[in-house]
Amino acid sequence: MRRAAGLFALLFACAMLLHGQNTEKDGKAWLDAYTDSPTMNVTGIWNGGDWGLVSLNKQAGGRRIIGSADGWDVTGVVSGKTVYLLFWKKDKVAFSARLTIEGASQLTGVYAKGILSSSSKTVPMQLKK
Amino acid sequence: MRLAKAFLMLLCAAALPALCQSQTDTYPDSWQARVLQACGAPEKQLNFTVEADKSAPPAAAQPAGKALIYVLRPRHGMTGFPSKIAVDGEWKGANLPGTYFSLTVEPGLHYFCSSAKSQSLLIVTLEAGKTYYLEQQVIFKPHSPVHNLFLLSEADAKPVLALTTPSTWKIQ
Repeated sequence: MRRAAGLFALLFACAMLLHGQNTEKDGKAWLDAYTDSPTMNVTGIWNGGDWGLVSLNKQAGGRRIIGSADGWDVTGVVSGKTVYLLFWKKDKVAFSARLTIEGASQLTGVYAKGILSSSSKTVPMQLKK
Repeated sequence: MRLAKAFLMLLCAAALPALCQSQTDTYPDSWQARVLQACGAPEKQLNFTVEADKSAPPAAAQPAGKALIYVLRPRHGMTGFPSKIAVDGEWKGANLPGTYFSLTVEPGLHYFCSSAKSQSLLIVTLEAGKTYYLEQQVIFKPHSPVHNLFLLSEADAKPVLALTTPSTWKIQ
């Protein structure tokens, strides 16, 4: 009985990992945690190196970002001098990024698989105009 | 009375997040909402019969006050089915492997939809007088072709453009 319960827990954990994080729920909760007023309009096409050309779009007076990058759908927010981005496909988050605004033509920071946390294995990321 | 007050306070607390949301943030959130914005309603779908046309003029003129878009589809293995493009829910044209076409679009924010057995979206703010290159990447994989729509730089697009021929199509 105990073995069966252990097996079930293992299967459940594997299913959760395969299922991935959901953009609407987990992604929205992550973005909603950043609430400072935006300091910059990041709208435009950015050169993201391996990410190709990254399109970010923000409405005047708003905080939220939508866009596209290397075939991924992008959702994000600008909070203060930091940009938080989710890269997703059909409501499943693939990557997330935290970038600091450095002038009008550079965003520098990191990205990771899934939603960034203190335990994420991060990779440097830079977007330039 | 105390119960009614508590209920009212609870109602206000529940409504607070909605009230705090910026009225200017009106972007579509979900995949389904973005697909509807880019690809339009299912009943407005168009199907195209596409051909490569080597005799067609190779380049469109840059119109004043508009953005010029090239939609390229390089050859990737065995995929032979057409891939069509919609802008803000209106179907504009289609490619076969190894073809391209161009279109002009008003400046501003636009939602592009590429459809080839599955859908891929591109959301971009276009500027007047500029030229943009979009690649439809359709790679054959049994049951589920890999399909992406993305922006190319001019430097990356020019060699692809040189290897493709203009496409022509008829609406079925």
